[in-house]
Amino acid sequence: MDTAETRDNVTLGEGSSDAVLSLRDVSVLFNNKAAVRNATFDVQANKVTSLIGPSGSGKTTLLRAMNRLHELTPGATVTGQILLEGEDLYRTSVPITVLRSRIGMVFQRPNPFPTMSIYDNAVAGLRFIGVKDKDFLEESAHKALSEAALWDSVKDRLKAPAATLSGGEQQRLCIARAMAVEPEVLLMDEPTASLDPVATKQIEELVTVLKQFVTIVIVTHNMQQANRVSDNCAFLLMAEDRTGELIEFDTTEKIFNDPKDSRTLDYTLGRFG
Amino acid sequence: MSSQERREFIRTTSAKSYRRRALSSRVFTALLVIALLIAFVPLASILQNVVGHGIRYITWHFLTTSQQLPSITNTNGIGGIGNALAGTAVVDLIAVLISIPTAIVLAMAMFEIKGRWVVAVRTAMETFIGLPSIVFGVFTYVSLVVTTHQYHAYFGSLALCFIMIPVMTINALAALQSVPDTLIEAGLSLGLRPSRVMLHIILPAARARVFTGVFLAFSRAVGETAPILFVIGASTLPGFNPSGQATTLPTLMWSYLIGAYPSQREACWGIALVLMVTVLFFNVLSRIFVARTQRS
Amino acid sequence: MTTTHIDPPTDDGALSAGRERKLPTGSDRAYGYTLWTVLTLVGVIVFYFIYVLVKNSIPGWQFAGWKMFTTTTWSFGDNKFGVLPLVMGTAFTTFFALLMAVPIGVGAALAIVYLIPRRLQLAVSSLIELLAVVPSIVYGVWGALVMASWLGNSGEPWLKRVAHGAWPFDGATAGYGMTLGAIVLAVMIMPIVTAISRDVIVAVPKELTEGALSLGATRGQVIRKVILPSCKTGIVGAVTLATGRALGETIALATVLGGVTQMSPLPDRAFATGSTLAAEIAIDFGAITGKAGNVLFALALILMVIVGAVTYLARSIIRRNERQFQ
Repeated sequence: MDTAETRDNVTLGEGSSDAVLSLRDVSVLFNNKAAVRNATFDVQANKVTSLIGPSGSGKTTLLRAMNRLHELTPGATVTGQILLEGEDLYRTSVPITVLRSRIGMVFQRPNPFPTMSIYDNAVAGLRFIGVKDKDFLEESAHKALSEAALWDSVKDRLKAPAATLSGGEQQRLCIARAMAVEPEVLLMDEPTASLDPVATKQIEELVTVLKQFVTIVIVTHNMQQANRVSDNCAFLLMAEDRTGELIEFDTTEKIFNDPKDSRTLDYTLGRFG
Repeated sequence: MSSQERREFIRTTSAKSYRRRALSSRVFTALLVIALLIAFVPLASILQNVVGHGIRYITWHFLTTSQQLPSITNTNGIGGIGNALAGTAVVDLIAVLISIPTAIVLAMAMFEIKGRWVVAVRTAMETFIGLPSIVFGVFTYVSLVVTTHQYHAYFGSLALCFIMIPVMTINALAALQSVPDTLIEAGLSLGLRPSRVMLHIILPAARARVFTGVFLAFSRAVGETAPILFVIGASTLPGFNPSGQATTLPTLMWSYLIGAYPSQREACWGIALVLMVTVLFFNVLSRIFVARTQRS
Repeated sequence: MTTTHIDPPTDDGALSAGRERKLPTGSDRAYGYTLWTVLTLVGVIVFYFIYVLVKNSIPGWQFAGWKMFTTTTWSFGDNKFGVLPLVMGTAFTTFFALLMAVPIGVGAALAIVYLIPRRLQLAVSSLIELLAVVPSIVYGVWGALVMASWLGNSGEPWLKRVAHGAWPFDGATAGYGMTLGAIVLAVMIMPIVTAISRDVIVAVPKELTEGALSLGATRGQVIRKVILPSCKTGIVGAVTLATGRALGETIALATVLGGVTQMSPLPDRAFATGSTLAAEIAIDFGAITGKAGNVLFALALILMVIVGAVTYLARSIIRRNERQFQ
């Protein structure tokens, strides 16, 4: 990638071949009122991309548009293109349930299925999409739980209810659950928002390890977290008309040390938000 | 299996199973919609019959004159329901006058007092809500009618108290408990006595929810037949005397339903319409109070 | 808000919530006395209620004897008190009512929460819950005057034809009987199942739905694999409460069951006539005299104990379930 060119373009990585997810002029509207407007950036393969900005800037909305989960809200529409490896999520003939299994998601609050065991949670996604082979399921559970750094502590109690785990462990189980279906992209919506500092640190470490297996997009409130874990960073801000806008997209280093927009600097220095 | 192979396998399985999964999902949701539609069939049938057959009975004559016994020469001479309306008014009014204060004070007592006795009474009230209403009829009959050898309208009121007081009490207690602690502590910190706090702070704050329970209980009691059937006797004269005998709308329906003449059975629809409108009126009132509490 | 559902008070009353108040004190004594008087009075009436029912049942037990539960002839006028037909009638009508009402009630609740536009949800569920406020006697009239003739003329002959007259769809069809009783009961308890199931389903955190969808689950899978298992306890509570209602229903059934016959007293086929414990009390009460009357008190006591236990169980299940998501 040519850094000189990206500097001029703002939209770092546009057109580059290693973009897993590409947003082109994406707006998300609820009942024809835009929540996020005209966002364009690329999510690069095996990198962590963070979305930062004050509340109301549309980070979570944009993230949920990336696996069409925002459609659960009545009146939601998306304009522009979101391309998953070149395939437009909103115009493809591939059904949304098939697409979603290629884009994992981890939520603010750990949400393991409370009636299922740890093992059943880990392979829930595989079972949903019709995998029946017992050996394959067991192997997947082992692999996914290992990737989520949970295997050693749960390997002797795989049949225990997921609710018996601590909050941090539950969140790692949710990561394992998402990883088990081998997604290309993992979306994380403030995954440490409800965790204590120790569990938060563990998840952050996990994120930096996981990127070798999967491309990660993470929404975070916490600028230090974005700085620590992400390679690229998108800064969003609410405009006058209360619509979120992408102010700047660049490498995390640039965003935090040498931003082009003064508002980005103000925000990262903690002057507002 | 390498990571790439695993991914391939999962993607193919996902694509292959999609049609089956989508179809079964569609079949399942279709079944849910069918269940919802079936759920409406009995409602439609009941409303259609009650309104369809009942509406032509709604005349001034039917509502104000007393019932008559049809005879061989006048098989359609059933008269009206004036006596049943009067009887319903007397029986239910007395029941309400007893139930409301009793239930509210009882709820206050359960709110203020702790201990096994309170738990026992509360459990009894919760259980009473679910008991078959006929057992209250049996109880009232044996404890009042058998001992006095008489039928009175107010016996029916007492029987209805067993239906109403538990519902009102449990609702009122939930209402009192929903009052924010901060409000109560503010009152106490002003040095108000517990009775003042209850009457001037807690009760007014809980008022709407208390009334919800009152109307809910009443709308249920108005339609009750089994508890009062054996204790109020019957009266074909429109009277408002609590110690006389009485006929109410449900008991009149019961006697017409098992009556000998087709005209009596047909008239059940007319009474049913009057009864349903009454019950719905109070049920809607309780819903309005619910809506009000949710807004505030 | 539902019409059948009564908000359960939380277990710890206001006093345990950190507000210790001594009662009664000084000039507040009248207030305390009033509360204690009403509480005691109601408690005493509850005990008196139980005492009267038990006391009046005892002569009934002695009169009818244990053969009540082994003989099958119920003929009140002839002092024959075999309650087996009534017990079986109660069990059959309740069981088949549940068989119809539970899938439809739960299915309707799921449809209301997940398939209907949000602004219509309240209206649709209110309409269904309207069935819960219809008085028993109106169901009795509907069953006896509408459903009985429909079943007798169309429903039962059709069932019989489809089953080629095989058991249990054999024998005479009258309209009145066990099938009609089960249908009327099903209609009466269905709104209870729907209302409580709906409350339980709405309480399932939406994160679970989203979690399942994000893994690639279809809507059907989300409901069957995630939502329903999470709601199991609450739905069991709803069904138990409905069972209590069905077991004790009196007036609506009294005119639709056709009565116990001497020839074949036990309800051994779908179109058999019969009676239930509660309905039979109402039917025979008019003829009450002497010791025979006490047998009815004994029946009422049995009914009360069974229904009371079922209702108590239901309430504790529902309450435990409400705590689960808090």
